[in-house]
Amino acid sequence: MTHDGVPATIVIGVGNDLRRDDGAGPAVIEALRGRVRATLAVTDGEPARLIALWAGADRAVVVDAVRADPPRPGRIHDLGVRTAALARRPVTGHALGLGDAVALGLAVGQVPVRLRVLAIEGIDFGFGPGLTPHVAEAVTVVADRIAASLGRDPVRPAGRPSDHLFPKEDRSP
Amino acid sequence: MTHRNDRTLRVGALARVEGEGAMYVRVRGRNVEEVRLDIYEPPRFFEAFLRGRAHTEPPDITARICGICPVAYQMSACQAVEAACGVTVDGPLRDLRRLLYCGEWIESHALHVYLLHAPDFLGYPGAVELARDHRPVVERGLRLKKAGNTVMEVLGGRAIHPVNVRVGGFYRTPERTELVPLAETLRRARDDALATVEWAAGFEFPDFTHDHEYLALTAERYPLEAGTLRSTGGRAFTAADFEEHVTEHQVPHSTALHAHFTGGGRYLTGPLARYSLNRDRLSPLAREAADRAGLGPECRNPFRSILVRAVEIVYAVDEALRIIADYRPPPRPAVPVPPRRATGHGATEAPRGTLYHRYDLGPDGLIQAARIIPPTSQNQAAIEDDLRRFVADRLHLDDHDLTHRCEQAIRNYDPCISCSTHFLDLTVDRS
Repeated sequence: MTHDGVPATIVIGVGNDLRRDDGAGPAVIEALRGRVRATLAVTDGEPARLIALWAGADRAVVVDAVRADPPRPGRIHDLGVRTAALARRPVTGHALGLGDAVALGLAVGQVPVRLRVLAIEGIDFGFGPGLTPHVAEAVTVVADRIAASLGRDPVRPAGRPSDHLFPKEDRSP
Repeated sequence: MTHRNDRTLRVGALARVEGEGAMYVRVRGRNVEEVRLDIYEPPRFFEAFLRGRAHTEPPDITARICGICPVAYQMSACQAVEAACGVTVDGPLRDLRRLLYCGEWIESHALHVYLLHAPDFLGYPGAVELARDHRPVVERGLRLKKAGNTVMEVLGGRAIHPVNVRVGGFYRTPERTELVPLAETLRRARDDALATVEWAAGFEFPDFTHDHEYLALTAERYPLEAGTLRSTGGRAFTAADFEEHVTEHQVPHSTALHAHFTGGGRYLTGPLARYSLNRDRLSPLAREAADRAGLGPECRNPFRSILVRAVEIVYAVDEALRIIADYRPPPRPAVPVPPRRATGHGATEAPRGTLYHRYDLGPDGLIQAARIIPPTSQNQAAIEDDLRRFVADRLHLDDHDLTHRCEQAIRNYDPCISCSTHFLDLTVDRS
């Protein structure tokens, strides 16, 4: 809760924009700049960092890329806390992933009251920038969905430092 | 099925290591015939990316090699470029670099101790299950990790791939007042760090020792951002002579080059080596913590590396507080580093061990050649040797148990396969 009593919201894009479709989360954050009243942050999905980012927020929206078999690039999954916590196999090469972060957060009671995970199915996680066409389209859809969701229930920035030196928090009305 | 005289054990993907890869062990009778740490991720070609880039770019480009230890890459890169250009960065700027490096050690070690390594000693499959039964303990680990991240954010601009580091120093240096809240955070972290040592000292450690030659930097203080390379075998050389003393070679099962001392001989770098070669340079508080934990002058049991990492967290927190207390802002955030045609070398102590960089600069300051030798690739031969001996002494175990123990043995080294090249899968073959 911020000092004026308005619920704090953070939108977190998880991923690496130099690993093709893994950049979907960061791309959604870019697409949201200037459109929502929330803290915007990008991180790599390492659980302790994720938990530290959403700590203190009343509401968090996390956007990440996922891999599915069979793949359907661009498909969007809207997951609640319990479902996200079951996704324990990370897409990235990190030792622990987003599912671990949610499960760990639940275990230590450090998960926002409202946590929503939007997962975009990717197809290409190779080296280099740029999203595949279906994933790029899904980024626009997800950004619109988040903007509409937050617009209906306007909130203020979380009021704490983002993980950037020069924070790009979006405070537009 | 287990065949006592002809066994194959396989694990598809090692859990709780950074990156992906595979391990293969083949046992025939009582002989462990083959042990391979298979690293099959394609090479990442960072040395090639660096060619033709300006001498100012390596700190930002090489930081992208790793999200866990980007500061190590930035520090080794800066040191190498500055050496090439004949510039020494000293005083408060050097202290700030050391402070930033302390942040990385705290967050990297806390991640490994609490979320990756401790579940092995307490019988849990992972950190989530550990947290369900030991919530206050994991909360302590997360607080420590966050303290390290905070140091990185204050000094580096952000916790992942810091943006405030440049050749010659920083883009911006903090005022003393900006470090006050950081000191408060670190004072609390010091208590958590001491409690971590006490907690880890209560674990049961397998009876296993190795005889690898240890290699680490040594300096006036416990080594972080600079120093002279020394080994337990009596070798001593500077970063500039690293490639004379260390030779890399390719093995068929790994896309990460192996390393050995020129003329033969595997070695080990990392916390065990650092501690064993620098114990007397720990702060009094960290040394007392090591004493209380039962760590002697040298640590030769890799399973006890969790204790050494815990002691190094105490040191990093203590050292960060010392630097903050003594800090006087420098007159300028960076010293000029005009390029010249030369070769420069840098070696610093990443959380996982010595990280070496070399850059050959042309007269225009553009990089003509680069060489990066990360700690995990240097340690591959020692890890394989540990596994060979570890398995040989435990052939009485069934395949499931032995495979599980092998995974633990690998986690002792906190391997960062993403650094050495990228990803790991484990196969133990007794057929």
